[in-house]
Formats: sequence, structure tokens, C-alpha cells
Amino acid sequence: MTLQSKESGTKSSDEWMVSDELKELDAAESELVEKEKHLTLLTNESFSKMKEVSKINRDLQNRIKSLQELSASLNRKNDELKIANRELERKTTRNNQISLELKEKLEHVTQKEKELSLQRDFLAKRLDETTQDLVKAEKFAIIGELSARLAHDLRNPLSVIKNTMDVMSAKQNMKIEERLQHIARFKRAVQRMSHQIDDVLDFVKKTEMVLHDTSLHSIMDNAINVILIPPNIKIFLPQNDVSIICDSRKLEAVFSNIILNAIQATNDNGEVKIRIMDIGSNVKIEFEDTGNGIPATTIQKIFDPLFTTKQTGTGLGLSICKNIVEQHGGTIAVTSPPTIFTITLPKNMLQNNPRNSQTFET
Amino acid sequence: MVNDLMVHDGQIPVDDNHVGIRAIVVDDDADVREIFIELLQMNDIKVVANGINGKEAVELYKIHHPDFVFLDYLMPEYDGLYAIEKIREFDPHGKIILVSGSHFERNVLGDTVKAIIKKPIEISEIFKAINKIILAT
Repeated sequence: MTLQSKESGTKSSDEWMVSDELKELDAAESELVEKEKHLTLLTNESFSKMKEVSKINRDLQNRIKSLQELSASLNRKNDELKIANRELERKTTRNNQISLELKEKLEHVTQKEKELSLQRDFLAKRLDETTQDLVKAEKFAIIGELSARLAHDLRNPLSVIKNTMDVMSAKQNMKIEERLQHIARFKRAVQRMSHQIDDVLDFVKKTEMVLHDTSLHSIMDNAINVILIPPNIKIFLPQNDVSIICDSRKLEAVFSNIILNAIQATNDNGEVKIRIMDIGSNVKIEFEDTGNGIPATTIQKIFDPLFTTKQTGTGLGLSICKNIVEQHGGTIAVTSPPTIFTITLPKNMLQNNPRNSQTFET
Repeated sequence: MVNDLMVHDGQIPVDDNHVGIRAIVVDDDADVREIFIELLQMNDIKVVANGINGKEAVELYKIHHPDFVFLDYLMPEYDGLYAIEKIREFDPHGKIILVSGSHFERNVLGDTVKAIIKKPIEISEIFKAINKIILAT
């Protein structure tokens, strides 16, 4: 201003003053423009900053939104988990209940099993008793049939005795030959009756075993001695011998019965071969004959009591043999043809059957 | 009483109807058969033939046409029942007397036989049966 006033010193002071003011105005104006520029710049700057901030804000908002979403989703998941958890709990409860029920059922089943087992035992016992009853009934039936058969069989020799007596009484003066013939009839009749009675008694009563260590060969010799051997029969005795613990009298009856059957099978004309085989703790005895053999229908029933193919047989012989062999803990079997009766006996029946030890005599 | 008379003359004075009749005897037991025949012959019954089973009974009946058949029941293969059926087929009026050891035949046979005599054979029973049958026919 001072400068302006100096330059304009030549001019009027007002001139000077206006000029100065103009200058001052220009300066102010450029300063204003400058400031305006600066402001514009600042505005621009702040605008961009604003923009930036707004962007950040948007980002933040986005983030918050996403976080919110995440949170919501987590909540949802949590809810779902809760539901699942509840479901699980329910299921667990239910499982526990089922498990309990199963346990109860299992107990029930176990009890039922026990009951069934008891029932089974009871039934088994009943079956056993019934079987025994049946066996008993069968025995009674056999004894009944046996008595009927015995009565029937005794009537024939009885008839012979009676009629022979009638004839002898009527004919006082009988020739000696005729008399002998009648006496022979008496003898046969009496023998038959004793034989039949003996067989029945042997069958009905199971006598105690009297055990000795005895040579089988000696038992066979005794068995053959009681048989009347027909002239056309040849008996081959074994070369070897084995001693066993047995009731020798009972085995003698078995052997003589089988040898007698063998002789009859050959029609009194043929051979009977006897073999003894030592097979460890047992001994096997075979009786083979040269007869025609036994028909298949007969062989099935051959050891059955009362079964017979003979006219004067009681059907008890082989049945008794089987009883005796089984009493010794052995077995008897037959194959045919050629007919071979095989008896297998333990050498020491006391080893297998200690109950019999009481009757052992040394 | 009967036995006392038999001791004296070997005959039984029940009746004379049996005298001279022709008979066959069938029994599988030789001793029973032989002594029974001897007893019958002694008492004037003519035994024209004898056999050992039902089949022989039929054959002998057809050959000899006897007045009476004395037939055992239990015999091997062809028993008394077989003989009864076959003889009745051949001659419905055949006079068969069953001579047997047991009771059960009565149930099986009904009235297919004229009489059943139980063993041991009592000769007076035989005569009684013969008389009854002859009087009835």
C-alpha cells in the first residue's frame, strides 16, 4: 500500500489510492483463486478420502453383514445341532428303553429255555418210563404167548402118554417088542416135556453168573459130550485155545445149542467147523456148518423168542443163547450161506462190567 | 368108569356108531399120530391113510373119500386151516374133526368143522363126537 501510494505520488492521492486498492484487489483475487484452487484440491482430496472412507465403510458393512450372516448361520447350525442333540437324546433314551426291553425279553427267553429244558428232561423221563413199560408189556406178552405155546406143546406128548397108556391097558398080553415100542414113546414124550419146560424156565429166569477163568476148548468138549453126534457128522474142533472169565455152564449150553442146530441144519450129514480167534481183549468163536443155509426171512427173526422153524422147537434156544452171550458182555450174530454163527466175548468181562465182580469165584 | 371098561375089553360101550367107519388121521407129530391110529384101530375104526400136513390131508381125502378126517391144526407149511378150506371146497359135507392142542382155533374156524377135540386125546370124546355127527346127518 505504501508502495502504491509512492508510485501514485504524482497522481492524485485518490488516484494513487484507487490504484493501490486495485492492486490489492488483484492480489486478493489471485490469492482467492489460489485459495479456491487449494480448496478445490482439498475438496477433491477430502472427497476422495470420503470415497475411500465410504468404501471402507461399505467393506466394513459387508464384513459385518457377512459376520452377521455367519453368526446367523452358526445360530442355525447350533439350532440344528440342538435339534440333533435332542433327537440323539431321544434316541438314546429309546435305545436304553429297547435295551431294557431286550434284557427283559432275554431273561424271559432264558427262563423259557430253562422251562423247556425242564420239560425236555421231564419228557425224556416219561419216554424212558414208557419205553420201560413197553418193554415190560412186551415181556408180559411174550410170557403170555410162551404159556400158551407151552400149554400147546405139552398137549402133544401128554396125548402120546395118555393114548399109549390106553393101548397098553387094553392089551394085557403084549409082545415084548411092542411093549418096548410103547416104552420108547413114553420116554420121548417125557423128554420132550422136560425139554420144553427147561427151555421156558431158562428163558424166564435170568440166573446169577458164576464166573471162572475157563478154557473155551474144555467148554466145547463138555458141550459136545452132551450131544448125541450122528454117524455122518464130522465136527472139527479148533487147534488153539483161549481161557476167558465166564460162566462155563451157561456157555456150554450156548455152544451145545448152536452145535445141535448146525447138525440139524446139515440133516445129520455134513461138517461142523469150530474156530477160536484171539483178537486182543476179545475172543471170537465161529461155528460153520455145511447145511443149505438160512433163508433171509428166517435169519432176521432167528434170535427172537418163540420164533422157530422146527416141529418140536420152543423157539427159545437161540433167544436164550443171545441172553447168555449178552450177560457176558458179548455179541452173537449169524451170516448165511454158509451159515456161520459168530460169538464175540470179552476175555475179562469184569473189566468192562465191574458190577459182576461180586459173583466172581476163584 | 370108562377106563375100567377099557381095561377089560379095550372097547367103550358108548355106542356102536363108530364101528367100521373109515378115517384118515393127519398130524405132524409121529408119536401122536401113530399111537392115535393104534387106539382108533383097536376100537374098530379103520384108518385108511395118514399124513403129516394140510396138503397131504387134502390129497388123501380126494383119494380115499373117508367118513371122517381127524385133523391137527398147527402143522408146518400147510396147516389145518388150509386142509379145512380145501376139503370143504371138494366136499362141503366132509366130516372133519379137529384134534388140537389149543383153544384159539374155535374163534378162527366157527362151524367149518364138525367138532373140536382137545389133546390129550380122550377116546371116549372121539366116540361122542362121531355119534353126534352121525345122528345129526
